[in-house]
Amino acid sequence: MRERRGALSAEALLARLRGDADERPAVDPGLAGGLRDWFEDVLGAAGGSPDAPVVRVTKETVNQVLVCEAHALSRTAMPRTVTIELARGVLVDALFRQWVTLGDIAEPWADATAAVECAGDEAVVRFIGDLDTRSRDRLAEEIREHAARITSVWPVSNPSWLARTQERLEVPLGGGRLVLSGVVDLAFGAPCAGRASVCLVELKSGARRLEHRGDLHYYALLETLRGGAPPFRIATYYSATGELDVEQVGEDVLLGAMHRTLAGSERLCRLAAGAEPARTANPLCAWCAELPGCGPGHGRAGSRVPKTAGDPTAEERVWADSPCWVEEEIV
Amino acid sequence: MRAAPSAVGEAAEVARPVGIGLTLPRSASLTEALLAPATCTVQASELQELRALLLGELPRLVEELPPKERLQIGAYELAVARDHPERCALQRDGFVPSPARCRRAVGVAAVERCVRGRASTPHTAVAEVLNSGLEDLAAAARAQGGQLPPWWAQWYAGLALGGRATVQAEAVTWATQLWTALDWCRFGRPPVIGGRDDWWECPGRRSLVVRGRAEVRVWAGGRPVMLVVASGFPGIGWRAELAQRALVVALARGENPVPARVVGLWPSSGLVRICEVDAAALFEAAAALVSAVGTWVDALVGLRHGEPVAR
Repeated sequence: MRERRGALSAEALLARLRGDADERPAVDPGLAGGLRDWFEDVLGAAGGSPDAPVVRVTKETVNQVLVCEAHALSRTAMPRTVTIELARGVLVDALFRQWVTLGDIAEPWADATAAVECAGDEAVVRFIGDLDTRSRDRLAEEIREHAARITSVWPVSNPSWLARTQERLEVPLGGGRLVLSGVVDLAFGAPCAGRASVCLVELKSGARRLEHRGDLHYYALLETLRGGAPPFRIATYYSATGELDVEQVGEDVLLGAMHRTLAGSERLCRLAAGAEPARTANPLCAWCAELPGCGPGHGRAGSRVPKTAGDPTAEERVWADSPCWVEEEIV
Repeated sequence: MRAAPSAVGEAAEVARPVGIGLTLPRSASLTEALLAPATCTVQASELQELRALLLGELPRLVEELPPKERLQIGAYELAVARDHPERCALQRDGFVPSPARCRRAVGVAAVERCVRGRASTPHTAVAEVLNSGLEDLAAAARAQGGQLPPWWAQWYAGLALGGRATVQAEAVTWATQLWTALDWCRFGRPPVIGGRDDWWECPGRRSLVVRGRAEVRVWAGGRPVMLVVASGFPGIGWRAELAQRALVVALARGENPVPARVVGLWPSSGLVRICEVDAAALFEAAAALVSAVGTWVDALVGLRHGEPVAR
């Protein structure tokens, strides 16, 4: 079951996150081990040398490699580029974390920048420092709007919820040759003692995009493999609009996430072993660093985007502005 | 990089069963694993042999260190020497506190409060620990004596609200992972949370100190048992990494019993590894220690002479 509605009150938001405690599903004790075995079997059958480099799989790399292997490979070689959207996301994440932890935000811009500075994210600190006054003021205003929405809608955490923010999940497979990893913005609930008991929440400061759902499923899979039990709910909270997408986690969700992650992992392992990447035309071709030497990219017909290579800022805009293309291409 | 002496290296070949399954609730399984009776012992003669071996190797290695250089080896230094030897020469910068670096210190103090019944949840306990640190700092500044402020207090006091929130959030996450990992009701007497690190100073003309650290210490069947919380997931050297904690106890505590086991918990991956401490495990840890000391000495000597470090 998947629910999506407009902005909520704090009580309604909490009710949707917690659901009915009596209806939380009993955990199949063999599920996590079975999923892990399945992964190990498929990845083991795919071979790979023990000396091969460790392949780190994230929600982003799975998305990229399923769109186009050549594109994914080109992104691994690119340094992290900070855009205004990325900086906003990092700052809003920091404020959300502060709100969950302290239940208090004094001055959103000062608090968020202090948090990012303290956490040592030098690239974002430098990016913000280099912004001209007008851009910085505009970003600060945006941050204040996001903070206002979070504080007005998101309930102050009760300590008994055992909220964990920015919780890292890392699942090594194949003796550590492949690592599924991710960082969940918020996890709460005690560890499972028979019934699913954990809820995962992802915060998004940008527009709704189709792949957000796949990202959540990926986190549900990781939590299942890590904790031995699936979360009972997964949710995406959009701080720009106050919307909350909530989904219950059943076997179908986990199996879907597993198939998708396996497909992506196999491709990433093959690329890491030096295989030639397959090239798949897609709407990102115009911004791909591989475009100059890519036949399918050049041949992509009907594109309304200009064919200039390697402009990640523009790419970010395409991702933000075109929420439906992924569905056409890979789902 | 220096090779470990062959006699020590050969001891590393022993393999034993490890880890716990996915039985739920996992806190019960982990607590049972921690409190299980010891399955092996270490003879006094084996400890003597181990000590003699290390005293034969380590002073010779650190002899090359510059006279005023002090080498301190803990779990972090072991891991760097094993996995990223090229970074050994880069580790000499001064220590800079960060939310990630002080989450353990704040987190163990918070879990300790929870275990003693002074706080009901890690969330509450972390806030109390941080406030208490600030109070101790203020008292020290007024020269009123009392508790010495914790090492992170000065740095934390200088942070703006956003920075303090990040520190608190990191510590809450860390403490909650430890708090929910064990079934605290099952301990007959309260375990020691954090506690003092174990130190062993290698005799010789140059200064070499080995440090062991554990997050939880309990007694099982008359012998100490340690729980170690680590980040990421267990790598190939996990056994030596865990056994190193027992090795320092064995070297430093003289007649006191050697830990029966060291249990490693990697919360990010949910994995648990169990190192039953016998002579083989201690010799394996000794081999890793000798190898790490050699790597660090090479790096420091190379750094002094402006040479690149061997990769």
